[in-house]
Amino acid sequence: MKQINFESEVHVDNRNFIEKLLEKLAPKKFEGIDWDRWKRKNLTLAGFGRFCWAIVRAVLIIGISFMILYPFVVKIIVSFMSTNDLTDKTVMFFPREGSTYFIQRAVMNMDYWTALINSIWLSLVVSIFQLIVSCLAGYGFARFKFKGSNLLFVIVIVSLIIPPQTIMLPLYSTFRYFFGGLDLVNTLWPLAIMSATGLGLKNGLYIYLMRQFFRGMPKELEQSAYIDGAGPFKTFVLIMLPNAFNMMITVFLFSFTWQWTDTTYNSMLMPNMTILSNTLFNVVKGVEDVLQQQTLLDTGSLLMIAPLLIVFLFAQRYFVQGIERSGLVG
Amino acid sequence: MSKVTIEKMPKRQRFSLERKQNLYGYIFVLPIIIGFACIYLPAVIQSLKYSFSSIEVTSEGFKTTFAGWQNYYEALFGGENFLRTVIESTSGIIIQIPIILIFAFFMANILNQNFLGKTAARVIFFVPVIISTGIIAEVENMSSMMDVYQSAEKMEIGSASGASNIFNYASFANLILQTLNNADLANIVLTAIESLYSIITSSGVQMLVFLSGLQGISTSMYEAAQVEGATGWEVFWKISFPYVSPLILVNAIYTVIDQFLKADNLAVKFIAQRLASPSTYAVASSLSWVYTAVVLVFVGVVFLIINRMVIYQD
Repeated sequence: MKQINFESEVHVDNRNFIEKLLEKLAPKKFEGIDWDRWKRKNLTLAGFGRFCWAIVRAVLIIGISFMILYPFVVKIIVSFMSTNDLTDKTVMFFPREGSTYFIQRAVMNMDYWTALINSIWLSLVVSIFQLIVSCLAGYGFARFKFKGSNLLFVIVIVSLIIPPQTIMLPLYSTFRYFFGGLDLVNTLWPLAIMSATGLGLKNGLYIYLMRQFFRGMPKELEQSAYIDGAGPFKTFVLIMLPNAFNMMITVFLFSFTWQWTDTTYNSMLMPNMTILSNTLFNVVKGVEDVLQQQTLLDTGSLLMIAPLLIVFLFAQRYFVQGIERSGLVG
Repeated sequence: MSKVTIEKMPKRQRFSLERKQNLYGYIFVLPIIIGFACIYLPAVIQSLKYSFSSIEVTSEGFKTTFAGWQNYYEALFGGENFLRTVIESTSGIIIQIPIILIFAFFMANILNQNFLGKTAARVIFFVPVIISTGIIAEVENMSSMMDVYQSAEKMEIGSASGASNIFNYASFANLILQTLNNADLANIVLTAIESLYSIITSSGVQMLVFLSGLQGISTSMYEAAQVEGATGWEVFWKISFPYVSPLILVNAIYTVIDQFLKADNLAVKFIAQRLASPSTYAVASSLSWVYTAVVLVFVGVVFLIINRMVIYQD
């Protein structure tokens, strides 16, 4: 019998990002231009239209990218200014003296390193729990028709609509006197428990995304696994989850970043914990001047975003792909 | 004997399989059921109870007494004009929703095309999804408020409200003022730039969803259209648009929820302020239930309107 080698048929791209970029940037082998063909293709009305559209598109994309990136560039520049640079009218863009005064001050006021580690720990715990719950629930909603599944899904969507502030006080008292007396406020537990039971921030959205993704996967995959004798859990773990890897990265990133910048749950359930979203507003402590306060706020929010940007840069490949392949249909 | 077993077998098997499936479904959603039953539902009931009672702060803690519809009456027709705030913010949202949807759809179409630096553009366009949320958005609002405060002091630009985070906003505004040589026109241009910025930052998720839909269209369809001699315009309206139209519904509902529950929404601010202090808590919780009802009605209306325009493939 002939052995079929699947590996050889699938083209696996193992090169890293920089190698790909280098290949793209390297000059292509010049083979001469077929001018007649070029003329026939481009010196027509349609060719002119294409040309105009390319220019309009370039202007739009560059303009919008500029609008998105400009505040960041400005924040980076401003955070390297010295106090003299700020008030100097002749300094338009680049700092003349330059110092790390504002960065040092922000790091000190925000208690940055402690808060950073606590924030990473908190966001990791919450987003991993949210990811597990939304994978399980998304698969349950997508593939099993059990009694009350529609009602439960409607509840999941409605829970997105109810403003979290509404139920914040009852939630607070739930966790203040958990099981009749345990005080869980100012610990990780409230958010860990809530995200493990699908009540975390925007969890309904993640469940919806995972459900749509699993709905788009071919049923034959699971059926062949069932025939081979695998149970639903084995099928879920061994067949479905590996295929959903990109989507899982997307959901993980969403929940990690939204948890990172969240204030509603954090300020209510853990007001005294040293996490970045709590300490960011301390950044202006002991500074009276409005201009310096603003600079410190900019520096602080930049310091807060920086870890997210690093994570995003590494994960963007999966991030963009994951959504693209999700097969979201109404 | 054998006849009976043959007749019964299939029925029994199907029943047990269905039952098994039901059971597994429950196991998969078990965490959600537990969370809903043990934490969410009690909290919702408690909050509803607060909204129907008057709260007194005593030395032992809260003391609640049943007060009927009084809180709701005070919330809606009391002196604080909650209704006007809701109507104000809602009318803003009604204008923003179609703009965001059209912009997101348009940009998704552009990002779906082939051009130099496509990957870089995609990455940059999705950065606001991550950045324009939570505390970072709050800081941006704060510092832009400082900007306006400063620019109002230094120059007479008038009401350049909610300035985007443009460095030396005053000098930027001054530049536009000088080039246009007309204060009214400059104001219009500045407001347009600012609202464009807010639209860009609030349409990231929608762009992602539209792009995912566009990527799902098989290229053979475009090729067939090209062979038949369809123009780009026709391809757009006859292929791209119908294919992703179910996603318009998803996006519209997401946009409605997102815009209504944003932290800088006027009504949300109004409620959050009053929820923070014990003396107005009861009224505020009834306010937020009224607001939830408003959002639900709005989502329903948007669903009914857009669902008619959606073209389903099957």
